[in-house]
Amino acid sequence: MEKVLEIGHLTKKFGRMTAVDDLSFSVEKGNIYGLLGPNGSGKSTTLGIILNVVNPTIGSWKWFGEEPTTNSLKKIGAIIERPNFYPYLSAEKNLEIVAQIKGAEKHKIDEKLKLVGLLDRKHDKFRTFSLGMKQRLAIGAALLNDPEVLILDEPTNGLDPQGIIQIRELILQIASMGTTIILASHLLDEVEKVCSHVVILEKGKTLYSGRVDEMTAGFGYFEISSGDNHRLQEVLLSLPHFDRVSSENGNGLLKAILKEDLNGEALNKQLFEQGIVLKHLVKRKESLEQQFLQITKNQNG
Amino acid sequence: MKRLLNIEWNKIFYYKSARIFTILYFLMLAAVGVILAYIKPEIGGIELDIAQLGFFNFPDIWQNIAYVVAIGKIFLGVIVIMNVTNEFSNGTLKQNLIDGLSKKEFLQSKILTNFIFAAVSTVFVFAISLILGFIFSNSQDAVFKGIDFIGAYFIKLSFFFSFCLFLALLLKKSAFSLLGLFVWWVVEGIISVVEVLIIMARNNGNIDPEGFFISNFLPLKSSANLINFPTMDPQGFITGKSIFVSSSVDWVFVVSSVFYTALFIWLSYRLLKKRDL
Repeated sequence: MEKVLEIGHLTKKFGRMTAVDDLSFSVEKGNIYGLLGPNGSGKSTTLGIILNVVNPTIGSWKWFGEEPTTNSLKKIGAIIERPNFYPYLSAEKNLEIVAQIKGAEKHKIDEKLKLVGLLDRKHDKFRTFSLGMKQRLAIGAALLNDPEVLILDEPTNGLDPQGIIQIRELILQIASMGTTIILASHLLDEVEKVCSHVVILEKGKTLYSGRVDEMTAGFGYFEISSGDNHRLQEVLLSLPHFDRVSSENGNGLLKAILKEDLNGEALNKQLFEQGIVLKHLVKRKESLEQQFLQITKNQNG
Repeated sequence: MKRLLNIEWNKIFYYKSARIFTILYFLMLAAVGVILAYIKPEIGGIELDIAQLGFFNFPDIWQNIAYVVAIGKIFLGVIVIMNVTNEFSNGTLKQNLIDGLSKKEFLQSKILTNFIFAAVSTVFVFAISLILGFIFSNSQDAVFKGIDFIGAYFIKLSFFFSFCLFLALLLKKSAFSLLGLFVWWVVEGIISVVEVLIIMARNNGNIDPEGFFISNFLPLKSSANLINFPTMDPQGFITGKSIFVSSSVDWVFVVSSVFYTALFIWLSYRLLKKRDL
């Protein structure tokens, strides 16, 4: 898989506060990535760094396998926090400035305005737009150069339900054209509905990184190890209880994701019958979804 | 460069307040010319006609007009400040950078605008002085002798706009930037007074106004010294000629003003480069 973005050991400190703490993840072409975390978890800072507006304390990142330059930014479309435009300029003039910066063709302006449903308002001043329209204009602006990657930070924040649906449909429509999307959100529901992959952040640290469908596995998973993890993995896969077994964590523990209910005692018995003695066996009943809700609940309370 | 100018043009030209202030500024420059030439106030029963005093005589007219209209630079200074602080309050600086404008390019576009403002304004002042001179000057010799004051005017404005740009980048809000400008001006004034008092204390209360003052080289003061208040000599009036004494631009202040212009541009760049937006 072609890597669009690779982030390596990124750290950003604001005074004594660490906003992003040794963050590493990569983004593969053609997927929709969610950057999920409560407010203040470092999502916007991370996006700010990879978009050249925030200077990292340490760490590096690569766009399209190259060191980042302003030219790589021209292959990216991004909106951060809120739609930022010149309020006194019309939609068309605003997009003209963006096109001049990105070096995009002028005729793209009408095309993108049409895509986001604002063509008939192109001569109206930005300040007369509703929030939903402003957000759509921002998406249109981000798409002007037909970017390979679209970055959206809380794109549905503050929108009414109709506006939210419009934006989500638009995102899926853009993704279906093959654009890689990175979507930052504090809404689990939004990430589940839109994204294929997710990176969960808490206080600047990665809590989970992987596929969304794994995250929401309903039966929990086992953390497990024995003297011979290779053999253990084979045996686990031969059992009918598991969806997948992975050793991704790098801590010597296998992660066996359940597809049906099974308790630790029963698993231990079965493995012992197969001649495997376990060193470590923990069942994580709590799914990541619940963990995430716990985090956000603590935040809000 | 054309790309940066196009971008700036879209940002400023369609901004109503900036357009109004710019138009007002140039109207004001023209009005100053007309007022000086045709309004003759009566003071104590004597009609004051500055043309009679030799205000419009070549070569003194260059210094006289440049001195009088220099105060108007604050109008363009406000536009320079608004033009930058708006980019902060609208979040467009951040968006410009995200869209692929580098911090350097952003600053270049603002500096280019500053120099264009300074240049257009200088051409305007040149034209006004030239026209008024041709109408009112009692002699058409040595027309371009004092032209160095027009060059000084350009340097003065360039410095001032660079300083405004720096303040706007530093303080991010237009009200604070204007306040910052005022505070800086007051502080320079205080330093000047303190220096004078120290020298007087050392010399038993005597001071040579033509002597050397370190405070003359503070940023605003050094730019003010480019175009000094015209020297006058009543003797000239009595003899029926001009009361104005011709002088020329002191190159020392040209050097210091150019230095400060470069310094504030460099500081602006450092500031922008280091800041998280």
